Amino acid sequence: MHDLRTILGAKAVMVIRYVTDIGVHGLTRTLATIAIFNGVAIGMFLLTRNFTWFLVFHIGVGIEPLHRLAGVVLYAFFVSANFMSLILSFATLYTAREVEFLQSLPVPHTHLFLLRMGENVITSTGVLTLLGIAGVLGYGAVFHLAWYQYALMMFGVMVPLVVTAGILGVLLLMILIHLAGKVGTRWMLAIALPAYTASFFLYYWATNPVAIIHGAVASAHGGALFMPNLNQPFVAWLPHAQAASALQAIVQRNAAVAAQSIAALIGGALLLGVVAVMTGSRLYYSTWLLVRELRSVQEHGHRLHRFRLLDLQKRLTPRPNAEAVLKRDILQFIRDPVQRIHALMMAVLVGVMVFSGVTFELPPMQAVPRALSWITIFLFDGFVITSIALRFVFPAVSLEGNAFWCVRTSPISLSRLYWMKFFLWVPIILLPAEALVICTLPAVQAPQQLTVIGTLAMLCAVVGLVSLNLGAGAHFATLREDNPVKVAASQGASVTFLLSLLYLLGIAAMLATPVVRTLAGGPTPSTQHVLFTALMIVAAVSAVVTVFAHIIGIHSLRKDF
Amino acid sequence: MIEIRNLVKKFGPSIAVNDLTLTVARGQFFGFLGPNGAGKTTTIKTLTGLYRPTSGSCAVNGFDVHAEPVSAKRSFGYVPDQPFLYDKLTGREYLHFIGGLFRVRGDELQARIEQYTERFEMSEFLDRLAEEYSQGMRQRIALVGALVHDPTVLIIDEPLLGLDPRSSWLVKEFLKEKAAAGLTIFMSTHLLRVVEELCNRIAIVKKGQIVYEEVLDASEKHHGTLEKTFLEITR
Repeated sequence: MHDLRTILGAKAVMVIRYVTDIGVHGLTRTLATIAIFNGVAIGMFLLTRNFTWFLVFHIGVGIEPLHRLAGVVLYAFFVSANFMSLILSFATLYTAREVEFLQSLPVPHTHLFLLRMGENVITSTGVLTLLGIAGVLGYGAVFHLAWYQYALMMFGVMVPLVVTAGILGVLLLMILIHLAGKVGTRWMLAIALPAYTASFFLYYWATNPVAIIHGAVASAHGGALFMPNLNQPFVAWLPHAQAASALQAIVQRNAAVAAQSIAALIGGALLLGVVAVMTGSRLYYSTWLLVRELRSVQEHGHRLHRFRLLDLQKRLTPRPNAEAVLKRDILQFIRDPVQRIHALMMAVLVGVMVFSGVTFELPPMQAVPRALSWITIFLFDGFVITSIALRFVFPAVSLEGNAFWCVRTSPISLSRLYWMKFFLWVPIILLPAEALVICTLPAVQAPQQLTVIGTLAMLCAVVGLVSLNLGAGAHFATLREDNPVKVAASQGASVTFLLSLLYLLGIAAMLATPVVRTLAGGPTPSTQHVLFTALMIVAAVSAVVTVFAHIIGIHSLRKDF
Repeated sequence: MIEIRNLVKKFGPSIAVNDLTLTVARGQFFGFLGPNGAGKTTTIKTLTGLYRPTSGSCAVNGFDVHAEPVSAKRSFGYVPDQPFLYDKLTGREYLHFIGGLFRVRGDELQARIEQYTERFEMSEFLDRLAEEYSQGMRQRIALVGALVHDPTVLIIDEPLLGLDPRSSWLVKEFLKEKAAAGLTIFMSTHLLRVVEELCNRIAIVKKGQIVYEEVLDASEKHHGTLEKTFLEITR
C-alpha cells in the first residue's frame, strides 16, 4: 500500500495546485467554474422541487406511484453514469500516458487498477453526481425533511448508486477487452452491441415504464393502481429500484425499509468493487497489454480503407486548402478505432431511443401535464444531443494536436479552419437530433404543429450547442492531449456541458408557456402567433450564443502555439 | 544483467522483433542501433514490460519481466525517448515521488537528489513546475528519476534527445563513470559518434533481427568508421 499512498499523495498535491492557481487567468477560471457549477446545481434543485411539487400537489400522484416514476428516472440516470464511465474508462485505464509511465515502475497491477478505477469513477460521474444530489435535495424539499434525511439521500442513496454505475462501466469494459482478445474485436462488437441494446429492451419489458406512467396518471384520477414492475422480483433488486425504494422509505420515515435499501445499495457497491478488484488483479495487466497490441497493429501495416471522395491526391473543389483540412479531419476520425466505436455506441443509443419513441404512447392527460411531458421529452432528447456534441465536437480543436504547427504555418486563415469544423459538425449532430425529436415528441399526442416547432427549436439548439462546444473546445484546447475522450472529460468540458444544459433549459423555459397554451386551446391563430414568437426568441438566443461562442473560439485559435 | 531469449513480437501480420537473442553482461555499456522501424523501441518496451512478447522471454537481473514484473522493475531504471512528467509537480517533487515508489530511504534519497542536482546542473529549475520545462530539462529529470533507486541496470532510449551541448556532455560523462563503476547500460540511439565514444559493445538490428554485433575494445575505438559499417549493413 506504500505505492498507493505515494501516488495518492502526489495526486493530492497536483489537485490542490490546480485548484489554487491564483493567477488572473486561473482565478477567473476557478470563479467561473464555481459559478457555473453552483448555477446548474441550483437550477437542478429548483427544477426537481417544482416538478415533484407539481406531480404530488397539482396532479395528485400518490407516494407509491411517484416513486415508481422516480425509479424510471433513476434508471436513466444509472444508465447515463454507466455509459459515461464505460466510455471514459478506456482512456483512464488503458491509453493514458500516465498509465504507461506507472506500468514501467514497480507498482503492482492490482494497486494500479484500483487507483485508475477510482479516478475513473470520480471523473466520469462527477457532473452527474452533482446533478443527482441537487435533484434529490430538490425532491426532498417538497416533503420538508430533516437534515439527516437529506444526508441519507445524498450519501446513502445517490453516491452508492453512481459508484455502482461507475464501477460497472470499468468492469464491463475490461471484460469486453478480454473478450476481444479471445474472439477478435469485430466479434466482440457483434456480441456486445446487441447485448447492450437488448439490456434496454429487457428493462423495458421487465418494468414497462409506459404502464407505470399510465398507472400513475390513473391513480391520480382515482383509478386502479397497476404497477407492473412489482410483478418482477428481480427488478426490485436492481440498484435504481433500491434507490427509489430508499427514497420512498425516507420520505415515509420508514426506518426499517430505508435501512434495508440503503444497506443493499452500499453493500452492492462494495461487493461490485471487490469483484472488480479481483477481476482487475487477473485481467487488468493482460488487457492493458492487449490494448497496446491492438493499437500497435493499427500502426504496423494495418490495411487501410481508402475512400475515393477523401483522397487527398484529388482536388474536388476550387479551394484546395480548405478541402485538405476537411478531408484530413474526416480521415483522422474514421481511422481512429475509439472514435469509430464510440460513434457506433452513440448511434445504437439514438437508435434505441428512436425505436422506443416510435412505440411509446403516453396516456391521455390534461393540458399542463401533457405540456410538461412534451418539455421533458424535448429536454431528454437535448440531453442526449448535448452528450454527443460534448464527446465529438468539444475535442475537435484539441485534436489538431502537436501537428497544429502545420496548419498555423500554412496559408489558411484560422477562421476558415474554424468554420470548416463548424459546418462539418452541424449536419452530423443535426441528423440524430431531428430523428429523436420527430420520433419521440408525437408520443404526447400533441398537434402536428408542436412537432414542427420542436424540430425547428432543435435546429436552433443544435447550431447553438455545436457553436458552444466548438468555441469552448478551442478556448480550453489541450493540444498535448491526443486522446479525444480525455479532452471530453476535462474540467473545461464539464463546464461546457453544464453551460449547454443551462442553454437547453433556457430553450425549454421559452417554449413552456406557448406549448401549454397550444395544448389547452388547440392550434388557433392566437396560439400560432405565440408559438412563432417563442421560436423567434429561441432563434435569437441561439444566434447570440453562436456568435459569442464563435468569437471566443476564433480568438482562442490565435493564441500562442 | 539482461537476458533476451528468442524474442518474437508480432503486431497482427507485421513482425517487429524476429527471434532476437541477446545477453548484456554486468557492467557492459551496450549500444542498440538500427534504422527507423527496425524494432529497437519495441524490444525496449518488451524488455521493460510495456509490451507482451509473442514468444520468447526477457529477464533483468534474473527476474523474468513478465512473470515477476514488480521485482524486475524494482531492479532497473528506464528512461523512454519521450519521458512523462506530471505537469503540476516540480522536478524535486517528481524525484521524491519516484523515490517513494521505489521505497528509497528518505535520507538516501535526499542525498542522491542533491548529488545529481549538482552533477546535472539542475538547481535552477528543480523547484519549478514541470509544465515550464524544456525538452532538455525533462530529459535530465527523467534520467535522474531512473537513477534515484541506484539500479544495477539502466535502460535508456535516446538519452541525448533535445539536450544542449553542455547537458549532453554532462550526461555522457556521467554514463561513462557509471559504466566504469559497474552499472549495466542498455542504450538505444541514432547518434553513432556517441556510441563510439561510450559503448563497449554494440548490436545493429534490422527488420527485428540482429544483423551485426561487435565488442568494441577501448584501445581500438572506431573513430568514425561505425557510420560506414552501419550504412553498409542497413542498406
